[in-house]
Amino acid sequence: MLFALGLGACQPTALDRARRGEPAGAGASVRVQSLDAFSQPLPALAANHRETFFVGNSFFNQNWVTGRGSVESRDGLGPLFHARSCSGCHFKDGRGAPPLGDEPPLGLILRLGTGGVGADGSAAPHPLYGAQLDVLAAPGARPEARVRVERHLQPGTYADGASFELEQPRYGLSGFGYGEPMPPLAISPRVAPALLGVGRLASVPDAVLLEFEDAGDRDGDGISGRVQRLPAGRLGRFGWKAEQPDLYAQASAAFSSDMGLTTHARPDEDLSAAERAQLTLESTGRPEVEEEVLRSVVVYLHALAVPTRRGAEQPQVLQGEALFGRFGCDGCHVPALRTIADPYLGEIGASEIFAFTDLLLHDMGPELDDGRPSFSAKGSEWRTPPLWGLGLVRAVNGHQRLLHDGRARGVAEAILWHGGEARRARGSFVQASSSERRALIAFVESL
Amino acid sequence: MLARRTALTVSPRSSSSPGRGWWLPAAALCLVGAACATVWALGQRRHAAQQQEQALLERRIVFLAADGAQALYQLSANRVHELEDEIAKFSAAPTTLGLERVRAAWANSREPYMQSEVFRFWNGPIDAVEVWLNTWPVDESVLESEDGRHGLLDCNDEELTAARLVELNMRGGETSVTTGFHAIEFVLWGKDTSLEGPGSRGADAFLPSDARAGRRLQFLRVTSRLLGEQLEQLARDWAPDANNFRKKFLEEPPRRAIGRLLRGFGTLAGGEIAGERLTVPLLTRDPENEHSCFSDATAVDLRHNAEGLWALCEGAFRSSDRPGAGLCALGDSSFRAQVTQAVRLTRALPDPLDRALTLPDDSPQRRAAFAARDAWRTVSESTAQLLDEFEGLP
Repeated sequence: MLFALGLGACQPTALDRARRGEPAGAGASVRVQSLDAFSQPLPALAANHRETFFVGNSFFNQNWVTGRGSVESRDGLGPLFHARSCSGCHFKDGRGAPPLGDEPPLGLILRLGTGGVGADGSAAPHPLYGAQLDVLAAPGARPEARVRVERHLQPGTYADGASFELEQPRYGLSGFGYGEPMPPLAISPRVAPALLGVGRLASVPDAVLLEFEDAGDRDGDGISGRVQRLPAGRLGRFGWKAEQPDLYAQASAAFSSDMGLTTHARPDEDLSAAERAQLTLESTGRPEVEEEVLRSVVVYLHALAVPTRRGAEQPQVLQGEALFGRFGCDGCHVPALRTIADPYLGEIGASEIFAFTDLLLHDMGPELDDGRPSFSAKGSEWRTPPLWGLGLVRAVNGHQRLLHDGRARGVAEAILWHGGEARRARGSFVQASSSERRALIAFVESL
Repeated sequence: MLARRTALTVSPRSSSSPGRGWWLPAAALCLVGAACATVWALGQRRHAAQQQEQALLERRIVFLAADGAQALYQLSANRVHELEDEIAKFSAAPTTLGLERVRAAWANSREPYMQSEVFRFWNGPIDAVEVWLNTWPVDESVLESEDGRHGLLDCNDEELTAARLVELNMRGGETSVTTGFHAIEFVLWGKDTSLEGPGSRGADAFLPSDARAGRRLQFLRVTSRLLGEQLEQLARDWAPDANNFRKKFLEEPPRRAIGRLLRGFGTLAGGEIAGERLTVPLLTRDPENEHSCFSDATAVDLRHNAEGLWALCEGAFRSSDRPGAGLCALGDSSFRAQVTQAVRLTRALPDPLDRALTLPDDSPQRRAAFAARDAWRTVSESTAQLLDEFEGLP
């Protein structure tokens, strides 16, 4: 009784609740830490959705084939494409990494453009190579180009004298298939994000995004999150620049731009006029991804669970948790969000989730500026990525390449790249002692 | 409660003679109190004995499981060595009879391995290497492409060494498979394009007249050797009297080890058998989504998965084993009945399964497949409940 009164007297903070609660709410969190940690269905999933989950998963994993294949349900890839399957980039529903050496860039795509915007505010595509680079092509067609990532080391020091080194990537394109690209050519590199809990993020109502928005920094904390505003009054939340409003749109866009597969929402191949003139287009169906297949993939995405935290009560993690608040990381990586019932899965009700994002756009400083504005997002603005599951990326994907282009080798480097609105938080991290820095990292990796 | 009721029944008598009767209820109270204390003490002792019995049972389950894992991995390794031998003989002289023998050796090695899958899904030794052993479905065009140029076994200059194949496996997607049982299966049978039988590749695919013959044989030799080595390592991980995984597994509190075993049991029953292995082929009606689609051995695979689950349920892993102590001893009798039912329905699956995929939903074959699927789903749900109870305990 006394204990209950004690709790009542002192309201637990969002960070307290994030420590105790299940990250994605009851029935949506799983205690799995293996290779399959991000691939689990929501425990509360209804039987009929569980079936769709497995079907969607098989389409997510399977390789699509170019031309007319012997199995109709999986042909239509290309003619130009980046990957043969969703799982090629989102391996085990996890995170992609930039290529090393001459490896083809599988977990990393390059968005292209002129740096300008079209009438609807979208990033203007490059006249010759369109909105995204395709590094693979069907037999008989030429890929658009080869990519090589050059890395330049950038040394720095913490306040306590310890040194660090950051890798500044530069992207070399060669072997152009359709002629030398005329300038200006803006390149926005992006790794495949992990997909755990995306359905919970899709279930955050727009009102919550608008509630958090502080475009003019009225509260004076140096942080001015902005909502991504898309055409037709829709708000964006998925993708590194929140260019997609929901997972149906996101999946349709990925089928189209990453695999050259047409869908009901995107019935045309994503090609420039110059490419169209040179390629023979063989459509294997209209659309190539049947609506039922697409919907099964969307249900699959909605139904991906979130692994529970590991070691949340350990002293070092608790110390890191306190620093996360003190440094102001929680200004953008907001611990708790409120969801409503899942729009695809009626059995998953409203709850509080702990994704550590506000789903808003923030200025991250000139070093992360891609020079390719898109809708409300300026070149330097990126949507706060969720942090849940971050500590399991190594177990699932065998690397810890972070940030939108995977330039950071681990949590510390990711923090050190933060600029713009996150300048103060980064400064606190640089000023911190080495044990405090380790504690903050331990906290982030416990998520 | 009992004491109070006794006191009440004697109270009317004491009220009739208030002077001397006061001691009667008091004595009754004392007597009843003493009796209660005795019953309580006996209960405590019985409770302690029960706890001890439960602890012994849990220890036994864990030990038998460790022995079972070792036995199944060793048997799988031995059978894969037989497969390697057959492949060596077949490489020297590719005949129709030789190909039949290689295929039989492949099928033979699958049986214990499918049973051993009950030890997956909890970060045990198998989970670190499984992607190289049994990944499916296989995109056959990664191995042999239709244009004859881009596949690994087409005449290109990609090296066919174990290290390189391990590196290439699943690069480009989860179906870009270059090692393990199902890649070998594809090379042995070829694509299965008919509902009447498995893939119909002949021994001529391995004769010098076929441009891919040399690379196919090389691939079979390399991948089967790799498979054998990996299974040997798994058997060593579980071998007694060594400083290995088994030692750690047996040193941890049995409750925790059982939690792991339950997690694997439920995942194989639910997500795998009910989900990926039955629901997906049944709903997509696509034979390529069957587990062993090239050899038409899917139903056999599922039967051996079921045998593995049954073995862990009963704690008896070898045919010579008498029923020992398994996970079913932890649940009530309905849990064992559910597993029994699921095993029974799996044995009755239509074989080959691919024919059932194309039939209407109300055909007996498809109904049988859905019934098996539902039974494993029930088992998986009960396992999750059991796991919750188990992890909820101190």
